[in-house]
Amino acid sequence: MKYVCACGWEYDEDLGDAELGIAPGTKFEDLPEDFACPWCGLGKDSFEEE
Amino acid sequence: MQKITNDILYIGVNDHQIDLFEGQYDVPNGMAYNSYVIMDEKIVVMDTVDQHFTHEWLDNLDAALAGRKPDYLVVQHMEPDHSANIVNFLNNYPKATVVSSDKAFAMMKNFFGNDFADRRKVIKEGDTLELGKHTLHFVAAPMVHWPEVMVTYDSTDKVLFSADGFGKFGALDVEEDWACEARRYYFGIVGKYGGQVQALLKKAANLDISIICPLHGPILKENLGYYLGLYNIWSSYGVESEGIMVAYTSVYGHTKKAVELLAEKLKANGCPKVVVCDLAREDMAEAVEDAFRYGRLVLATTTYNADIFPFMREFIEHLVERNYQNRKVALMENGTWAPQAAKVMRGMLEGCKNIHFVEPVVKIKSAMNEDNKNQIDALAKELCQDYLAQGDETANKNDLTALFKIGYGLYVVTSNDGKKDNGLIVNTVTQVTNTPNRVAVCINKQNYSHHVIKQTGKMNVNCLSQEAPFSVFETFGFVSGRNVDKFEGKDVLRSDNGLVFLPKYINAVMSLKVEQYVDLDTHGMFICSVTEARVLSNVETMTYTYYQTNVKPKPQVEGKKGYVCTVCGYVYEGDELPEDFVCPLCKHGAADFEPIK
Repeated sequence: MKYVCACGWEYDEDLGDAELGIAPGTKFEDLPEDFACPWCGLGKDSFEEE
Repeated sequence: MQKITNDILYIGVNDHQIDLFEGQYDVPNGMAYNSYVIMDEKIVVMDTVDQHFTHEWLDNLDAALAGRKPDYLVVQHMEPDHSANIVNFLNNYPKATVVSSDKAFAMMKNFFGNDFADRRKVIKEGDTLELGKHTLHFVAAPMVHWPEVMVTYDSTDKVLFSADGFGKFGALDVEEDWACEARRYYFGIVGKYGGQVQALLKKAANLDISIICPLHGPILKENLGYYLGLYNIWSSYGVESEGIMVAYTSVYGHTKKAVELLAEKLKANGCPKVVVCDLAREDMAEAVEDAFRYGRLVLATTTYNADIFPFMREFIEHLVERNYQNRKVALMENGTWAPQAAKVMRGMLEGCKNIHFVEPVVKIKSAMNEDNKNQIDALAKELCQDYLAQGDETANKNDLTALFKIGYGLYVVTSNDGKKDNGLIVNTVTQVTNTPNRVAVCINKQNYSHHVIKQTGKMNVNCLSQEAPFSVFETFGFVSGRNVDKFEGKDVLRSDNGLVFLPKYINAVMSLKVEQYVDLDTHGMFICSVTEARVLSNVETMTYTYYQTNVKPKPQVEGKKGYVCTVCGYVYEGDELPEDFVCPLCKHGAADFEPIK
């Protein structure tokens, strides 16, 4: 599953994010509550399922 | 030099040379690039201006400074119409420091090849900058409408520097209405980011604001509630004005003719404002703004290249990109051999939230015919249903289907005639007072239960939950307890008054004692006190609407001729339904029957 921030940054659960230290396969819902988009700083509620 | 407060000066510029703002927006009254100076022990410049106004701006700044030098340049937003002169400023004032967010500095590196590492101050949400008398508070506004955006609050003069928020098209030396050009600007440029604007408005609600200084358009000093109110409506995709927008394209004028007829009928049906827009000839940004302003939109276009006419495609794409939602949409299509515009338009809007398509779709084959005129008439009535009903002249004041809008629950009322337990389905149970609690239950006199309760003075009201299957209604609804034992062979549970209650499919049961009886001719109303009350589950109560939609089987009318009871589905076979006919199953009269089509 992929999730897209309002600014366009995409989180792909299959890939995780090496730069942010997020392991491949990490579910979006399992990201910390204070997770912030690395591009624009918006929180999880600004993401939509792709 | 315009003074905004004693210490805050305006040093922005007006642009009347620009052809298209941001490369796409027609700005007949030009554009203003606002910039401000705060004069204090430390001097701050708030943002720069567009590249074409370097010298005019630097002159304005120089005049404002009156021989002093600025200490800081605050960069709230990196779009080039505000950031183009950062380098010129720094060259002119080599001791000044740039104050901005880390994201903005990253953008400076990309724009200018320099992120001013040796002369910058990186700030984030909640940081402050002390100037002497004034304190600036920085508030992050990510994606309003770029990621690096921040707004700045001067808590001394109660001034909000709002970046692009509350901006509008138009230079400041031209007088014009604020809302129209601010709305066109908002939906054109920020419209997609309603959620992010809402987040910023919530933060702004905690600030005591007297003046808003945006980066475009006039400084707002009075009646701020008006501007904040509009921003709240716009960013929540609410409806600002009553009325209907009709957006169309027409190749040879046939679609236009149909649109004109519709517009005429909408007005005749009480629509307070009808906005008709020819998408090929009128300003696209204004069309987009109107689609968001009104709550109802009619789209009329032709089938073209097996798709839709290009201006309509562009228009819908603008709406979808900007999260168009919460609207009623009607469709009109034209096509000479294979009309499919309605299907394409509907498909384009498919992903939009809370779009209600209004029927009928008007389907024109080349030119409007009589059928089309009838469709347009029906569509106008449907779109204007509330306007028609609100108007003193136009309303049908005897529309008894209004009664169908009353919300009802469904209940099994149980009683005992001394020999056997009985139960029937009732929808007229209402709590009428709360000190003490009193409940009114209304029952048809023809029902055996009425007779029993009148004599015994007690009953149980079983509140059916959404889990109740149709069999419960068959058992208790359509047969009389005088002839049938509805509990025969069943293990029963009893409340303290000795009456049965249902073991399942209910969420609560109340034992009632009759205190008053009101004779209503066909029905009797029992007004009761509550002697016992139990809650058995938290499943939602079965409402009449839920029953009609989800529980009641569709009547088996296939191949049959005659009339069907809309209450229970009983089918009367015959050419004429007698006027005094009463449904043998549910005892509703001929008025509740409809012909089988």
